[in-house]
Amino acid sequence: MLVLAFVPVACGGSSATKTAAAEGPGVGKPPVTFGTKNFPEQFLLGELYAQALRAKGFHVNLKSDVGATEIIYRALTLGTLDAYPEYTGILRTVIGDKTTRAASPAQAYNDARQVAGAEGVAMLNPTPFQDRDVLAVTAAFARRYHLRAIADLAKVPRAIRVSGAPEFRTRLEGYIGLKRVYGLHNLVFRPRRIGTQYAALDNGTVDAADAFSTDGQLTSTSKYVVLKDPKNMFGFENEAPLVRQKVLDMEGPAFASTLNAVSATLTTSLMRQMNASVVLRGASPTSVADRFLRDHHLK
Amino acid sequence: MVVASGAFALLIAAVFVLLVFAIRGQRDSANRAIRAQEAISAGNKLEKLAIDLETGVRGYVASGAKPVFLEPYSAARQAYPAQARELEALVRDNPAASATAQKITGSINDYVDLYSIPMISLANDKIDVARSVIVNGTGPQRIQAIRGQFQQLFNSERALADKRTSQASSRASVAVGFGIGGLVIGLSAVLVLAIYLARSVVRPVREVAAGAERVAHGDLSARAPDQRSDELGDLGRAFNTMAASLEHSRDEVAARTAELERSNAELDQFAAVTSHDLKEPLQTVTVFAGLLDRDYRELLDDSGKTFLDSILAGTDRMRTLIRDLLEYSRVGHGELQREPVPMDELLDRARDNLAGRIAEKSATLTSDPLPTVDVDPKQLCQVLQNLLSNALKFSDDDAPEVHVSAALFPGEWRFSVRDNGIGIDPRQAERIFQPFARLGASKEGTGIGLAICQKIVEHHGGRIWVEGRPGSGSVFHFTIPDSASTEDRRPATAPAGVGA
Ligand SMILES: Nc1ncnc2c1ncn2[C@@H]1O[C@H](COP(=O)(O)OP(=O)(O)OP(=O)(O)O)[C@@H](O)[C@H]1O
Ligand SMILES: [Mg+2]
Repeated sequence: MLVLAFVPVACGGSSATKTAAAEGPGVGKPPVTFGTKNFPEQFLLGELYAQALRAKGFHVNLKSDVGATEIIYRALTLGTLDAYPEYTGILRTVIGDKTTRAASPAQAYNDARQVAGAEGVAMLNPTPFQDRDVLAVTAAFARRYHLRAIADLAKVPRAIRVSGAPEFRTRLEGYIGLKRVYGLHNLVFRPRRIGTQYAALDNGTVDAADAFSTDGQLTSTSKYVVLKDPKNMFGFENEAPLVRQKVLDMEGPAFASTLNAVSATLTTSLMRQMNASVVLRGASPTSVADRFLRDHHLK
Repeated sequence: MVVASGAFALLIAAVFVLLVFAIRGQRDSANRAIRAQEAISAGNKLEKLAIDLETGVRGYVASGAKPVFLEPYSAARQAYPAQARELEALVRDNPAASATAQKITGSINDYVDLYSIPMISLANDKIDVARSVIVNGTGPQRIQAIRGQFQQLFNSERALADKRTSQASSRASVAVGFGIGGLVIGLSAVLVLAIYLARSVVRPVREVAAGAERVAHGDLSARAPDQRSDELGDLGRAFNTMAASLEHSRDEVAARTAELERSNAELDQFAAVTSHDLKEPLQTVTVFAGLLDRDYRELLDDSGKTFLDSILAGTDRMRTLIRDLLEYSRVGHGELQREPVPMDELLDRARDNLAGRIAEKSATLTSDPLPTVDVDPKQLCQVLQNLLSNALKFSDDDAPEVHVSAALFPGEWRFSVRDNGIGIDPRQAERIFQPFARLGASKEGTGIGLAICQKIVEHHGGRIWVEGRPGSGSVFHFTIPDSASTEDRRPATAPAGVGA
């Protein structure tokens, strides 16, 4: 985050985005505290939603980096926070304690919505993009062994080194799942810190790596290939803003529709591009969000 | 002179105003430094409360949500808003620190609302989850960030206090500098005036007078210096014109002499008036310095006190200087109240006047029988007293011995005051008779004593000089024309004696 502070803000940058518009459906409504979790994609989402709301006259206090799912969700249900971007699969498993896999994105969303609704929290419309685990290999590796889906790894006539965070090894939506769901027996686990897996792929230390579907690195299809997961062992992780129902009622219908309009534009490839700008090129989430909203006439 | 004394008074007033400002500035900066200290200590308390919040939350979760462990957290949470308000109030006049203090309050609020409250709530019903979350939680980083902000605030406060202090002390040294400078200028003005009077007024006048005396005794070729372009030059030229015309007409002598006496008297008055004019501004300095000493002394640091003492000592000294200058300008003019006086009696009177000093030094004062001479008793008593007091003052401390004697020489009595004191370098023998000339700065005095003696003795038609070597005592001699032999011998000796 330190690096970001030195990046010059694009035209119409932060100062313009901090103040609420002089007119719009949000003018005069009570201020809203909008939080995010503690990683770059969340900072981006926070800026996107907050700036879009401010453009409509809403007064938004953005609190980036509130914390892990359990904490930020708690803050929401306790009322010290009004809204934050959440992922359907995480909400359903971490908060809703669901142990079975969802059959479809829609089912995951409905489950999550129910979990939140039980505590007076509304889950707005989900985004087209998902931020879930994927298995990535280099384009060269994929070409050599004609790999398109995870199951194709069985065709590789040698041991496949798979990198992942340490906890990946023991998760059903991880290394265990790869073996059980796809019946892969030629895997070797290589624990690595998240963020270092692309370098490991590049220099050939590992053959496949656990990654996130919206990682900026994946914008380059000539370098990496994401293996298809037809059995959805990694679950569904569409993002949707959680808002306390009380807040929603107080802010009026324009609040939800503004957030929904933003969510509707967020495809996987656009998220990858924005993540790449922030994580790989050091742009500030504020200016990246500002440009995106202007390009999509949301501001 | 009126302009000069007005300017001097203005200078003193300016110096005084500067000093008052400097003192006030120092008081302000002291207050600011105290407030910075208070702000820092309020900040420290707030910082401690923030740390209590974090350790409280950790302790609570680690203990498995045992209520006692939440006590430090609860206490800190209750106390911090007031503490934060206190801090914000203390740094209100420092914009940078004020902004930081607000940021700190915001950060602590966020910590409480968005981290500690959810964490405690989580611990209350899902302790295991709380434990696993707190391990990777952002609490410590948040508190660390807050502590960084505190550091920033403390630095900004310290910098401000330092800046105020150094501003005030540089202003104070400027003021004290001006004060000392003003005093030095004042003192030098007095000295310059004194030297001016001695060198430029008294001596040329004396030279003119000497010439007049020579003319009076028939030496009509006598001339006074006439190069100067001021009144004294005019005087010299006037005298020379007078002397020249005297050679043609003795009748004019009386008229010209009367004129000379008049200018002489005017010059005297001039010296008296100027020294008098100096007294008033000096009194102003004395009063203000006294007030400063009485009311503000405690606010000054050590060097400030030293400066103040120097100012007090300086004004004292200046007062003595002016008094002596006045006295010097008074003696040796006008008609002498001559009468036959037994010098023994005068010596006794002088001895009485100095009785305290003699006893204090356990000095021995002896004398030969002294003659009766035709003099002004008051003035001659002063000569004796000055010489005796010097003999006592410039002695080694153990029991000085002073002896007064007299001897008759052709046409004059020579009186001698001998001491066994520190003696005098023969090279300085003439200089010490100049007004304000002193050798070595250790003994008190203004250096006017011998100048007065010389003036008086010469006015009586005598001479004064000193013999002696360093370490072996000194002898001061002065001569008084012998009245019994005046009629027949004076013409031969007197002209050479005048102005020696
Ligand atoms: N008896 C003495 N022995 C040694 N030195 C002397 C003696 N008398 C005078 N002097 C030197 O001559 C200087 C001038 O003497 P003078 O009496 O004029 O001034 P003073 O004693 O210093 O001050 P004041 O008499 O005005 O209080 C003295 O400062 C001292 O150095
Ligand atoms: Mg003396």
